[in-house]
Amino acid sequence: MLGLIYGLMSIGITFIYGTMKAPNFAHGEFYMAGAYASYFAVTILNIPTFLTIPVSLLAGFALGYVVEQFLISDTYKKKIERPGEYAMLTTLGLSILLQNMIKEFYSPFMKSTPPILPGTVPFYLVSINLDRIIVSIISVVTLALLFLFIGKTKEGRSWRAAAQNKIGALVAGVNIERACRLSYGVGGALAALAGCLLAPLYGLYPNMGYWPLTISFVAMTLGGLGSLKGSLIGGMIIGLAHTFTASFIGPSYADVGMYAILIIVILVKPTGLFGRRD
Amino acid sequence: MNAKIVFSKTALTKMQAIIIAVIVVVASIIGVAVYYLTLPTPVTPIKIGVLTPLSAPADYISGSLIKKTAELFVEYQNNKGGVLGRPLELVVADQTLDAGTAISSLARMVTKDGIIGLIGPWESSVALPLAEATQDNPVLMFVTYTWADNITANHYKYVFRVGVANVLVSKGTIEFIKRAGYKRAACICEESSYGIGMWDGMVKWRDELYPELEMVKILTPPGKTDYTAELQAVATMEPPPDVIIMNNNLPHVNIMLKQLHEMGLTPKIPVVSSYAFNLVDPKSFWETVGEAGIGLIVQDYASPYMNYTDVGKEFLKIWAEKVGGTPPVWICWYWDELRILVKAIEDTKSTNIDVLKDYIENIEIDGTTGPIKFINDPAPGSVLWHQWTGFTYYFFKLEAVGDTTEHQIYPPP
Repeated sequence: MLGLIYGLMSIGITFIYGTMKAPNFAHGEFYMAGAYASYFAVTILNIPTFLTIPVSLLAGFALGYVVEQFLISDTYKKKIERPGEYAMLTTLGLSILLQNMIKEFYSPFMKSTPPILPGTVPFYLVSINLDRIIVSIISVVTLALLFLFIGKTKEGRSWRAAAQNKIGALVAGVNIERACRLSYGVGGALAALAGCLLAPLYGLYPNMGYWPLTISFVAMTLGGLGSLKGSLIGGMIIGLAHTFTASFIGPSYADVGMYAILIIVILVKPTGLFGRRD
Repeated sequence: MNAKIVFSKTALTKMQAIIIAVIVVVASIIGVAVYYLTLPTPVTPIKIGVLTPLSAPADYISGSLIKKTAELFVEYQNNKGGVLGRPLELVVADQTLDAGTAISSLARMVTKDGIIGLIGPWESSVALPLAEATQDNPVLMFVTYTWADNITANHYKYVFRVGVANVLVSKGTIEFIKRAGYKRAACICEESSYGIGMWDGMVKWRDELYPELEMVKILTPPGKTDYTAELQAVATMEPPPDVIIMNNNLPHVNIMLKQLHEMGLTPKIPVVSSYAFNLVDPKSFWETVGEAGIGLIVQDYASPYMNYTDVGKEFLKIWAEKVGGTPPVWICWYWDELRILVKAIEDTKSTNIDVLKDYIENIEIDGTTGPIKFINDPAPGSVLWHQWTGFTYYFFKLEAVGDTTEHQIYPPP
């Protein structure tokens, strides 16, 4: 279950990396934007958390789209010398800006949205929150829809083409700018969806994106940079590593277990589990 | 030709012109001299530094309260005529979360601005390197709510604390646990100077005061959001704990509390927090944790039932007028520290920091919450060095959503 949650966190960043071949260090803030969009929708419109999912998706998509349009598009328009470094520093700066905007203009304190489905179910010695089950189900459904969209639709195939070879895709008639912009928007929307779904469980606060960003990068690297399937499986492996290390060695070694697996995989297969050499 | 005759008749002679010029020059010199001699002698201000977090991601909310306190104090003291006839002046800098930046600011404040006292260093990760830096940049440094034991245990020459330390806080926690009769505690500790320091302190006091208590340490990385693994370790403890002690900081401690409730560990097992994190922003706390907060027991150093001294009442009045509301107790302690510094200057009639340091080591002064006197135990590693210990522990139980300090369970109100 924890693995599916981690998988949901890492899908968006993998999606963006797959298309743009550039890291997005503001991904945690896309996640934050989704959580705050949900929170504001709950508090202002007084609607249940479940109904705020479209609001968060829209906010994440809009943020991703605008960021790509105004900050990132130069990386493939070849107007700059080092596009990777440019994207990294730009998104890092954006991340700091967005965090501080929330602190300055709203509140630095933790908030929370009401549970999507209140209640728990007993399991072994503890109880499991129903929201965790809902999040896991939505993660699986979202991934399935995403794979279907990318694999079966013309639009999805054009995104894959842009991700694999931009010049080739351009020759084949793909509108690269449009594909990149929409990919970034969808990546933002996926991060925002994760933020919205996890806000009732983990709360929301200005630098809430740090942990998901770390997990996402580990899951993406473990699964193979740019591989959606790899990202999902990477997230699940991390979740299992966390749980097993904590249970059999000790909770304080949970992160050690995660990084140990990453190091072993990278040593054996430097491209990650499902990554391919460019 | 006529014009020349007319000119020669009306023009000054050469001698007359020289005399007039001399008179003008002499008069000007005298005038300027008189002006400057009659000017009031410039008075050099006494400068106090405020080096505290003023920007994110550091705790700038607390920092802004500290800065405000210093501003109020300077205004208050200057309205009373300053110190030794000299006005007080503040030199303010942003501590940030980077110790290197903070130390550079400290060096500039000491060497360029000439501050003699410093308040405001927050968060132990920065305050401790700053305390170390006062050895190369001599200045009297005062801290309050920076809990790391080493702030005083390292026996820095110029560093004083009117506030709490981990080892002192943990004594209060263990005393409460003993009084409540708990026998087996799961201690969840954040891997930070606060969490680890609290654990070390609790072990020390358990051994001294309550050796029957069995404690199990569960470490959590700071900044984590999912505590499933850690809380499973609590759930599978055999025999189960009869109390959970949390030594974790905001904001993640809220999530932990919520997850304890979700996993069914609370309210079955009572939770005691060594830090009243719920009081930082009660509205956000209850909004975040909801029913999971009911039953929580928190430890703090101020109570609605406590008596402030006359000094304290005066400060609370100033704060209410200028800022509004009631300040946290550690803000009162900053007011005390500024008063200590001023009293030392007035009584010694000196701004030499070695003279002031010697005086402050033995000072006795009425503070906002009671008398203040520093303990100076010379034993190496003793926390009780330049340390005040006059605070009282209070424990509050949250019995309903929205509660803050309504239900004081220890000491009885």
